[in-house]
Amino acid sequence: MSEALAQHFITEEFTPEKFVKNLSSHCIGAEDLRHQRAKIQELADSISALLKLNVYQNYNQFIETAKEISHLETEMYQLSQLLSEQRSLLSIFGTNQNIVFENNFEIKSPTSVEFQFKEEESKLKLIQLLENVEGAMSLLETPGRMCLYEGSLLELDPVEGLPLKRIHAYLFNDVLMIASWLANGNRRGPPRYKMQVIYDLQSLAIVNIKDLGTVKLAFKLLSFPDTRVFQCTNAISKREWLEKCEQAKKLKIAQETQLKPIHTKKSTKMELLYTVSQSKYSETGTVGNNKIDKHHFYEPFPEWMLEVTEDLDSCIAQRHFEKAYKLIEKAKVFVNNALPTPQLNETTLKINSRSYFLINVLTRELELSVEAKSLQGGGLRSARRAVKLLIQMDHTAQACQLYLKLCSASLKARLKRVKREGTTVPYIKQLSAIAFSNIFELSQEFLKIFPQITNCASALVLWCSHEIKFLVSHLIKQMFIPQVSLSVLVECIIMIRNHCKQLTQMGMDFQYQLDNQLKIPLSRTLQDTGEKYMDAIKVRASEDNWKLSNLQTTQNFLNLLAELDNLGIPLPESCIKNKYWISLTNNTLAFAKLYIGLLEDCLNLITPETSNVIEEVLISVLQIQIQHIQSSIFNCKFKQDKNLMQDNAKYFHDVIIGRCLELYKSVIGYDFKKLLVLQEKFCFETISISNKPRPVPRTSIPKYSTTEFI
Amino acid sequence: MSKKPGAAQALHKVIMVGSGGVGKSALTLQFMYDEFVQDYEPTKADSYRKKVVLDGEEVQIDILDTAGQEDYAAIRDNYFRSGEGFLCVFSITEDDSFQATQEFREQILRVKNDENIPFLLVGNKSDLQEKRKVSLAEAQGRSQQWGVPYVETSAKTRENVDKVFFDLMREIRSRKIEDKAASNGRGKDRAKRKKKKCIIL
Repeated sequence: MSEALAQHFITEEFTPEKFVKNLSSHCIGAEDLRHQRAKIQELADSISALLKLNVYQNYNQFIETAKEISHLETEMYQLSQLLSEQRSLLSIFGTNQNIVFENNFEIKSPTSVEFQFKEEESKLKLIQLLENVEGAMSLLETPGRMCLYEGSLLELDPVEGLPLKRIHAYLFNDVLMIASWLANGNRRGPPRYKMQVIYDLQSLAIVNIKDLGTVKLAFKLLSFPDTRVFQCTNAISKREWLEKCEQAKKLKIAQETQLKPIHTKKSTKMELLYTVSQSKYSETGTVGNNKIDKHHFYEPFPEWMLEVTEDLDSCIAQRHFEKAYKLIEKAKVFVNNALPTPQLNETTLKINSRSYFLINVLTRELELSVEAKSLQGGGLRSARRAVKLLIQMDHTAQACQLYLKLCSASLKARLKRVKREGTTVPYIKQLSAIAFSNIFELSQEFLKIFPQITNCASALVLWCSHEIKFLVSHLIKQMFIPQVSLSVLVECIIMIRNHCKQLTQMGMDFQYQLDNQLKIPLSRTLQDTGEKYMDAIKVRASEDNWKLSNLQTTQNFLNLLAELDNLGIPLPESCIKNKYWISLTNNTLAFAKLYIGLLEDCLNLITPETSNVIEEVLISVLQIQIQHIQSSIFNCKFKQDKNLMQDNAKYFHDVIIGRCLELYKSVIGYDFKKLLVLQEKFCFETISISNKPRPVPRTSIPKYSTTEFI
Repeated sequence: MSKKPGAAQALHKVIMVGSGGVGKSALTLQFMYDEFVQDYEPTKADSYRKKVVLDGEEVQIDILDTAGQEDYAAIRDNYFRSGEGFLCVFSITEDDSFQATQEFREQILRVKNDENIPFLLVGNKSDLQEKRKVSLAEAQGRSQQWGVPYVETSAKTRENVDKVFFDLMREIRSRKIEDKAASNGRGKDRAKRKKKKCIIL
């Protein structure tokens, strides 16, 4: 309602008279009119509130803007100050260069080079200071002058003590300068002064005004005919002024007393301070020559040295690392041979920081190539460059670490390409071949890059060990699965061992580690295999009916003979009963072949750690078969086959066990004691009982067998 | 910078000279503030000003208390140049300080180039009679030789303290009047007289 009313007011054709007329014609009675009035009043109130709010907002905005402006103003002021500083710096460089060229004989003793820098620094400050003082630049001509104190003072009438004007005073180490304020049209920027007078501290009497009636905090300068009174703003300032003046005076006296003997010696700092300028003009000839003899010339840096940091930056940026390194080395040599000066120190610091930077860049480079996906061998080759530089820059350990990481990555990448296809054997073969040859190659490469660094060699050994451990654990997962038979396993393990032997060429033997890792799964597999054999033997034993073997053809017979000969278990002639008949059962023959195979496998695997397990497996498998024979002999069911059994038992005793003992001894180097015991027991229990008892010669088994059977 | 009120009130500039430790500052402080400072602290150069009534006339006295030791002769000269009258103080207990007065006198005369400069020879520490090293006769002999008054003072007891300052101020005042008169007309004569005196001496 009120909004509608407000809209009504806003319209252009609104005229108060008409509105009132309209209102009065519509309204009925005083009550309604009053109601309308209240409405309008309400509107007026809300509008005035809005207006207030508006004003307030505008006011806030105004304040903020003003703040911003003042902020900007200070910034502008700072900027202008910076600019003026820079200008003065530039002008100093200009004048310094002039000085160097003008006074070629401005000689510095080694210690005074540093001093010269100090002097230049103070000069720099002085220039900044005097920039604001008109007509004061002549003060710069005195070498060694520096400002000790400055401040604004109020000059008073010396008689009446009435204020005269504001001045700015500068206390230097040798003079006191009074400068008057210059009207500064632009109120911003540093205040400007105009030099008024210079008092020599040697003749200026400075009097502390302790009591001048109402005038406080004043001091007096007496320099005939002038008597001037200055008032400080506070007690501290006054005390400082007097103290600094006194200090300056004392310093000057100290310097003067030193100066006298120096005139004869001509070689200390003071001379530089106070006599350089004199000697320039008056004592040129002889004195100057003496000085040249006694001191070095101050040599500025060669041009390349001045630009060395920039050059280094650009070299690094353009990846000319070798060039950067050479430059750093060159600079270091120069620094070592040069006299120490602040400039030199600064440059040294810069060079050091650049060399750290270079190291960082190189390290980063290596790290990146470790992370890189495509390692086509190029990674290693390019890394060699970075690594070599790092070694040169005494970061061998870092380089070594990074390089080995890179090697790991590259090895991993290469092994990834070996796809698991087909059976286990070729896969294992390929994988271990590639892995070991790569480890070998990488190690060789490593030794080439890091020659004669023992720390790195040990790092390499550790790396190899780690890599092999990783590889073998992977291989174990692949090999020791139920589908893989012992003979296949043996083949794989032998292969891996052979590959591992490669590394011995470099003096690294990891076979012990390999064996150690293989020990546990291998023992388990051996035991499992043994059990499997035993089960098979039991099954076959239960089916054994003790019949002579009939080979049916001569060819078969000859084949069998050759096969057994090959296995080292030749068929004794006594066993050949007929053309194709032999007095050994099929079971015996099968077992003999199987057992010799097992034995060979086991002996191929045997290590000192696994020998126990292997022996146990071999013995227990054999025992099962022997038990079968024994039980058969004492079994009445097979009474008529006793001779056959005897022959079989004899074959076992003489040929199979004999062969086992022989093989074992030839591989391991000592007797298979457990088997010997078993053989004896077997002989005693089976052969002697069933046959006529006779002593068993313990030692010469082959001889026994031959004499017995031939 | 109107000089009218200043001109109405005369300002007499007195300088205290003498070796270190003879009591220049003690005399000054006793005169200024009626107090005796027992502690000794070497003065560098202090200035004091006081309004006093000299023979019924209100004047200002400006005392420059100088250092006994000043390394630069040029600075000392500047002190002396600013003075109109001198209190040359020595300690009667120290012969060296008495001997040094000779040098001060010579320097002052050289700087001021005036034989008749207002000047008082002051033998301080008269309260320490038992330690006296410089006899009254000796001191008086020197003052007569220079043609200046000799007064013995004690900054401690305030004996003759006001006297030396007031005597000196009177001398300064009379000299100023003399000079005024001389510059008003008899300048030539005075110069002549001075010259003559120098020749006689």
